[in-house]
Amino acid sequence: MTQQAEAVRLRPPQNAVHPRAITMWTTRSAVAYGLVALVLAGLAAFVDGAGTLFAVLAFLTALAGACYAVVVPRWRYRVHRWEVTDDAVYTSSGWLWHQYRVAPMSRIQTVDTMRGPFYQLFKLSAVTVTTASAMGPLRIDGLDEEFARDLVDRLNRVTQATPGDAT
Amino acid sequence: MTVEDMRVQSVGWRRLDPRMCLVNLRWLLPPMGIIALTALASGGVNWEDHKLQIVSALLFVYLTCSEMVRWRTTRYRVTDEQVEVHSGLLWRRHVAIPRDRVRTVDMTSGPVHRVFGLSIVTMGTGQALRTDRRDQVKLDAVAAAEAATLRAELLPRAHAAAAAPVEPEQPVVESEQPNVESEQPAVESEQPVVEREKPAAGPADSRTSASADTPKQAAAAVAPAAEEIARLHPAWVRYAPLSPLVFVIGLAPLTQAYNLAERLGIPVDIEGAVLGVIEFLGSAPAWLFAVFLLMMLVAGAIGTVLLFTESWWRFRLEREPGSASSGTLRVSRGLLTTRSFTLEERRLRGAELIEPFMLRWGRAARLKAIASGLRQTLDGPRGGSGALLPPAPRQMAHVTAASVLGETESPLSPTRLRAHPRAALRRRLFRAAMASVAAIAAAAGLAGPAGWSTGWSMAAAAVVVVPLSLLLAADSYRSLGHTLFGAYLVTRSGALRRRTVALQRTGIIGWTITRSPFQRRSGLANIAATTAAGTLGAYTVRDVGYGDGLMMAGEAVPGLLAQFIEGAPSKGTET
Repeated sequence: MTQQAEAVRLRPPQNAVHPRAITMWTTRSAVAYGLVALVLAGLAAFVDGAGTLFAVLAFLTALAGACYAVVVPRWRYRVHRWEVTDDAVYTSSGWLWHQYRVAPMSRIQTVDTMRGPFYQLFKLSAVTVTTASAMGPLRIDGLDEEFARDLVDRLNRVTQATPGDAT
Repeated sequence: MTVEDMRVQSVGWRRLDPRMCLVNLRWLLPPMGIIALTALASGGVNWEDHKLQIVSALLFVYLTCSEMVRWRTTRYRVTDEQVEVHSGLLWRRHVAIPRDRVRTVDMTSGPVHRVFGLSIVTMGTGQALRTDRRDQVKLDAVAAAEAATLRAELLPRAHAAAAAPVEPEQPVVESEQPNVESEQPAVESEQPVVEREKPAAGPADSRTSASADTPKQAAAAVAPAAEEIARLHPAWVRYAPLSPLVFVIGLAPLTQAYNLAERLGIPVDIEGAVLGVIEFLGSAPAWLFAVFLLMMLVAGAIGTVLLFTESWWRFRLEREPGSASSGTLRVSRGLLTTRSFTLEERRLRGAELIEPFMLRWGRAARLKAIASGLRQTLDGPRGGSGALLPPAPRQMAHVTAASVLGETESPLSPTRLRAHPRAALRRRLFRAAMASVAAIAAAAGLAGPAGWSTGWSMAAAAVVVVPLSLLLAADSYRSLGHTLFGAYLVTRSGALRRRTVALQRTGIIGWTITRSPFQRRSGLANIAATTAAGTLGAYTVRDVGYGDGLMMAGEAVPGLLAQFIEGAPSKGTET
C-alpha cells in the first residue's frame, strides 16, 4: 500500500481565479504596507531623538512591502484554484502553507458573496461556501463579480435540489 | 452597480424598520443620566464643562449615521426557495439561505427595542454553537409584527407548536442546579438554550430559569426502564491526584491567607516575605525542604480528591429508550452543584478518549462524547460538557465507549492504529532541537545580567531541556496513529495530552488538507475531517503520509475526495 501510495496526490482544482485578482492583491498589500510605512515616516519626521530609528523602520517596511506585493500575489495566484463538480466544491488556497478543502453538495448550508473595498474597486468578489462545521467556510477569493453572482446562483440551485439537512 | 440596483428593486425586497435608528437613543442615556445625577447631587450643572455632552453627541451622531447607512444598504426578501439578505456599503455581503435549511428563527428584543416595537430576527441553519457567525443571518431590527410574520412564514411548523414549547432544535440539555451556594454556579450554567419567543412581559434574558426547569421535566419523564451504562466506582478517586493541579492546589492556602490578610487590612510585605522565605530555605537543612514539598503535595492531593468528589458524586451514565428513532444518553453527577446532561443519540458523532500524561501513568483515561449541537467547554478537573466518564481505568473507558456508540468493540482501541512515517518523527525531533537551542540561548542571555557563569547556565539549561524535549518529541511521535475501523475514522495524537478520536464516517461533512513547506518536502500532510460537532469543527490526522492519508480519506467517505485524487491504483472506480 505504501509503495503504491507514493504516487497518490490531490490534483489541483480545475479553474484559476480571475487574473485581476493579482492586481487586487498587489494593490491591497501595497496600500497596507504603504500606510504603515507612511506612519513610520511621519514619526521619523516628528519624533525628536528617535528619528533615525523610525526612518530605518519605515524603509524596512517599505522594502518588505514591495517584496511582498511583488512576490506573494503571483505566488498566490498559482495556488488559489477552485472547482465545482456535480456533488462537491473543491478549493485550494495559501502560498507557503497549502490548503485544500472539499465540501459535498449535500452538506452545504449557505453560499454567499463578500466584497470588500478593494474587491469593489476591481469588480471582484469572494464566494464563501458554508457548511455546518465550525471550521469556517470554503472561500474562493478573487472571482469576477458577474461570474461570482452566476456561480452563487448555480450553487444555490444545486444545494436546494440536494435533499438532506446538511449536518 | 446599476445592474445590481435594478435587481434589488425588482421583486419583493424589503427593508429593515427605520425605527432601528432610534434604538441608538440609548447611547444618550448614560451621559444624560450622569448629568442628571450631577445636577441632583451638586444642585446645578456646570455648563462650562461641555466635554461629556460633546463626546456623547458625537458618538450618537456617528452611530446614527452608520445605522442609517446600514438601513439604506440592507435589504432582504423571502422567495419560494430561499431567504436572501444583502448588506454593507464598503464590505458588501450577499447571503442566500435555502428555505429548507433554515432551522431556527429567533426573535430577540431588548428593553429599548421593545419601546419602539422592534425585534431582532436571527435565522440559523442549525448549528447555533458556532465560532463564526456566517451561518446566521441577522435582521437588526424589524417591526415585531413583521418578525412574527417572518417566523410564521419560514417555520410554519414551529409556529403551530409555539403554544407547547416542544424543542426539536435543542439537542443537548445541560444544566446545573446549585444545591448549596457554590462558588461560581453562573459560569457553567450558561447553555445553548435556543431563545424562544417570549411574552412581552418576560425578562429579556431568562436562560437561567430555563436551565433550572429542564432537568426536572427530564427527570419526570425518566420513569420507564433506563439502562445504566456506567456508575461511579469509589476506587476511581485514586485517579484524582493524577493531575497537574496537585502541584497548584497545595499553594492555594498561601494565596488564600494573603487574600484574607489583604481584606482585613493587614499590610503584607510580599517582596520581604519571599526574600525571607528564600533566605530561610537557603539556610534550612535539606530535609526541611523535602518536608515542605511533601506537605504541599499532600495538601494538593486532598484538594484534588475533594474536587473530584464534588464533581463526580453519584455519577451515573444511563440510556433512556426514548422515541422510536433514537434514545437519549443522560449523565448526572455532582455533590454541591448537581449537573445533568442529556444527549440525543442521533446527535452522537463519536467519542474521544483523553489521556493527560499523569493519568497515563495510572493507566486511566477520560471519555467525552462528540456530538453535533454540543457546546464544548474547556474540560477542567470538573470535566467539561460532554464528559461521559470521570477519570477511570482505561479498560473501563473502552467498555463505556463501545456501549455508548452501540458497538461490540471500542473503536478507540489502540491496537489497530497505524503508525505514521518516520518523517513525522524527524519533524518532531527537529522542533525539539530548535526549542533546546532557543532555551540554551535564552539561558546564555540571562546569565550575564543575573551574574551567573555563562557556561554553567548554558550547561544547566541543556541538561534539563535537551532530554525533556527529545522525550516529548518521541512520545508525540508514538502517539500518532490513524485507522478506519468499521463505521469510524480513528485518529490519535498529542504528547502531554494524548487524544484518541473516533468519528463516525457518516458524520464527516468535508475534508481539509493542509501542507506546510516542510510537509510538502517530506511527503506528509495534516488531513482534517470536518464535522458539525466540536468547537474546532474538525478532527485532524496529523503528519500522516500524504498518499496514505488521501487514500484513507477517499475510502472513509465514498464519492467525495476520491474524485480529486490522482495516481490512486484501484480506488479510481469509486466515483
